[in-house]
Amino acid sequence: MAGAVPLVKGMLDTLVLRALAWAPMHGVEIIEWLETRSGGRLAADDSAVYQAVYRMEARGLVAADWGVTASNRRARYYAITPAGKAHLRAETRRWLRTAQVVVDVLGPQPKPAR
Amino acid sequence: MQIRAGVRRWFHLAIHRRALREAEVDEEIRQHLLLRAEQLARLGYSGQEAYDEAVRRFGPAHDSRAQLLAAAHAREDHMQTIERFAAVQQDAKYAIRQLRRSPGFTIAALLTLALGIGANTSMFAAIDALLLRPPAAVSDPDRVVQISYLRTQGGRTSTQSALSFPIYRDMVAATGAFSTVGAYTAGNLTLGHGAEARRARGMQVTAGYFEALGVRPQAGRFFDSTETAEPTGMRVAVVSDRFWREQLEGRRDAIGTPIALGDGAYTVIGVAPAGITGTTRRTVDLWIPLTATLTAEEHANWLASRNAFWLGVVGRLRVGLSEQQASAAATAALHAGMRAQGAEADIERLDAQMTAASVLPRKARRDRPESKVALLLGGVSLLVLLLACANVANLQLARALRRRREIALRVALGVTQRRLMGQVVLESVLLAMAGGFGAIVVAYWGQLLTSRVMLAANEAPVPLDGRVVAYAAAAALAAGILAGLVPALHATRTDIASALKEGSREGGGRSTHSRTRTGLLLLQSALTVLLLAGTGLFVRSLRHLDALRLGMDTEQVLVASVQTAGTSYSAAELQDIYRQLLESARATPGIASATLATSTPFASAWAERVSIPGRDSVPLTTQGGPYFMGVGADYFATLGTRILRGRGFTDADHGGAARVAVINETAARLWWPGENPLGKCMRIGGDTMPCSEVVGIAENSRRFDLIEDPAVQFYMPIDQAPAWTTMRSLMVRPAGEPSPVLPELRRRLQVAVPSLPYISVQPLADQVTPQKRSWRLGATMFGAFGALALILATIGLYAMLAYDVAQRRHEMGVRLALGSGKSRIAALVMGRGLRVAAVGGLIGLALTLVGGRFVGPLLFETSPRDPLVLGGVAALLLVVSAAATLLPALRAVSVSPSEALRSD
Repeated sequence: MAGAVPLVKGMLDTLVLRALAWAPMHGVEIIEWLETRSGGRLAADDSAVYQAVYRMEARGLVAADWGVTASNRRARYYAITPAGKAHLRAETRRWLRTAQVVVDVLGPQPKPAR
Repeated sequence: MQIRAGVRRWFHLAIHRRALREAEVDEEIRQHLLLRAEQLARLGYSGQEAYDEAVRRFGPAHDSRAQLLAAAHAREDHMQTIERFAAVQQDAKYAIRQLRRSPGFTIAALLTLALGIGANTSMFAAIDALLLRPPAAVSDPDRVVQISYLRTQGGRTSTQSALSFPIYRDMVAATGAFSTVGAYTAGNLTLGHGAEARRARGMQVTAGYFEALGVRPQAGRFFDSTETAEPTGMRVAVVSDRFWREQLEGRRDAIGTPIALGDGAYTVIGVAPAGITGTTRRTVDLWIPLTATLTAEEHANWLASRNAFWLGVVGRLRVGLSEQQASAAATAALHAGMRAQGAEADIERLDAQMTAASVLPRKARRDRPESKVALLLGGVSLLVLLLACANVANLQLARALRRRREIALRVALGVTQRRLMGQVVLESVLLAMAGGFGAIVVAYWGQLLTSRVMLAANEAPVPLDGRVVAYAAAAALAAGILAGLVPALHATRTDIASALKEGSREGGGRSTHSRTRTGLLLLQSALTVLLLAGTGLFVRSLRHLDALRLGMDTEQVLVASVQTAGTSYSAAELQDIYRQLLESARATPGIASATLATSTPFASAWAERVSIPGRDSVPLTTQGGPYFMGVGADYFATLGTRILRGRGFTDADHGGAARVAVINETAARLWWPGENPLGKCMRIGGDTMPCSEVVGIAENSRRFDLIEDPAVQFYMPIDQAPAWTTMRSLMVRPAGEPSPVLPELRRRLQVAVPSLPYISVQPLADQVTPQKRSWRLGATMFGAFGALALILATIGLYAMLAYDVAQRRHEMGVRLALGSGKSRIAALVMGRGLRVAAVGGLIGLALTLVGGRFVGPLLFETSPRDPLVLGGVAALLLVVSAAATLLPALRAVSVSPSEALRSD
């Protein structure tokens, strides 16, 4: 996967929450959503996504239950909780601010005014 | 191997749950791979290729699964905790709803617990203050010691904490034992002058005092050695935190300002930290240098004499030194000092030694009778708490019976036994916690009571702070669990089927229930008898003490004294002042008589040699002496001391008249056995002194202690007393009740002599009552606890019978319908209650007889098996129990048969 971006700690959780904010999904749906949105540029094993949802389930950010997929297979469905939504909002703000600072520092310098 | 079924089930469950969790994770992985393969197939991968790619993308097979399992376990554990918490929360809500639904039960249980925990907490606060808490503001309190003097005379060793100034100096020299040594003496000081004069609690100290205690000033500084130098120190003062706030308005610039103290002005140099009471529990307003006011005359008396014992001495142990090592070093220093002053002979004769003992209250105050009684009462208050728990358990059992259907329903709906037990205990703990809040209010009042009966007026009151509140919380938790335990065990034994089938009337489980409840009631009656018997024994001790003839009417006499601490009057000036005060007292309306004396009973006493012509030596009692008092002509009339033979003194017995004396019964018996002592000659002061003619015999009177062996005593006219008895005391007998006269007398005395320091006027009884403290404490507190126990037991008995009657309304109705007489029904109900009370009472009496061994030494001339007390208590219990059974019995006979039969 050329140009894939390695994941910073905590970032995957936020991205998964973003996916679930859209709709409850099972693991593969989450992975598919992330791949589509990132254009395949995220470098992570599929199992990392499961670890992320387990972690967040323990923290009460997502809730889970077994369900049946369109193709009639059993799968665990994950949904975002109110606490998860609040967490997502806070994390989004933090990531965007961080990214802005990084861009400001490393990005192209504005030309001095004449 | 045999494993109990329950254990195996639990064990199995734990493993099982873990296995389930792993299976679930594996299932999710399996499904994921299939779904992922499907998705990849849609993207163009062929069948097997798609699956392989799904596996590859999942990550390194073994590691990924292990990580997922770990994450899943962590998640489950976490969620279980949350669930459990939520369950407790839910149960708590349920319990609160249940409690609100039966307000009668809730209020009864709350009150019971509040009283029980409150009583227990206030006793804890008292014991904590007396025995556990280290002295306030003292650093490294385990290194601070009180230094005492040990001497053996006539085979008896006595320890005294009052030392003489030379001994204090020897201790300062004992640098091998103590890093710092300080001396102190407490006394009242006078603030302001004349009519404005007020009393302040003072302490005179050396510079080493604060240093030995390791106390730091909160503002300014403490004394330095030049300020406390000998022979005369400087007029500077350290004020207490309270004095600083109240009298100096807490101003920072108060340091350096003068305050009118004694007969002059003292400069404030520092403020002590709040709460400091030194090694005693005495509250102090002001500290001044020990030598601030000493005159040359006093210097000779007080600082030079090895035998004037007036100082308390504290020391700070050198690091790593034990009390024994320090005592040995201090004794060596004492002996060196005695040799240097030519008192070598006394080293052997008195076996003079020093001892250094920790000031930590648990060591230092262990032997005070109040401490012993307080510990006993601590035990008693635990009994009362136990009683309260039994009562609440009983109430809960009664309520559980009524709730059997509800409980059975819950069990039937799948509530586990553990959860059910937890719910009952939780309900009980919630009750106890709420009761705990009430208990703090009870403890507040209780502490006012304990402070009053347990501590001297000048002692710091028992504080109510975080420590005490923490104790109350712990006691509440324990009480809640304890009170919930029996009902919880019972709840799980509910037989669902029968409980659901029947009405709430009677049936299954009733017999075990009522057996437990009867047992709890028996316990209550027994404890009540034990406590009431304790009350009776202490009250009888007090009665016996009050009936003692002390040789004077302490209740009828007021003692006036000039607070001379901090002043520098000469002895002659003071005697003049006292003469003026005597005149002023005699002129006060409502005063029957007044007199001066050279000492005050219960406060001071002088001894003097006596020789009797024709005898080699005068016999004495174990009390030593002979003791004497120089007294005015009105002394015997004022104090109420009876003259048994001969006469007392008159105004004709002045300084220049013939020398006369009055001896007490003991002197008459020992000195002139079988003879008439009247007209006999005694030489006061030794062989070379002139004869004093014995003119009267007075009854024996106390010197210091309420309980003491009689001593040989005699009296002489105050003008004929030896010149060295410079001390004076003014005693006044009002015509009627002393208390209404007291303020006016004090006012008149205060203005009688211009610029006089504060004059205190106190009933002589005030000197005596502190000595009755341990008995009064016992009587009051046992009384309070006993009354509480009686109330609890009565409520318990009443509740059980009332409940029984309500439960058996049906049966009563049938009995009445079948022609049973009302009196028989009443006898049935009352008989059941009285039987319980009687058996409980008998157990209590047996316990009292056994427990008497512990109480016996604390009583005064009262046997712990006093039949009057035991009989009275038993009768009281029966009468109160009968009253408690009356109402339920009346209710039982008022059941209308037709209604009772129809109602179910």
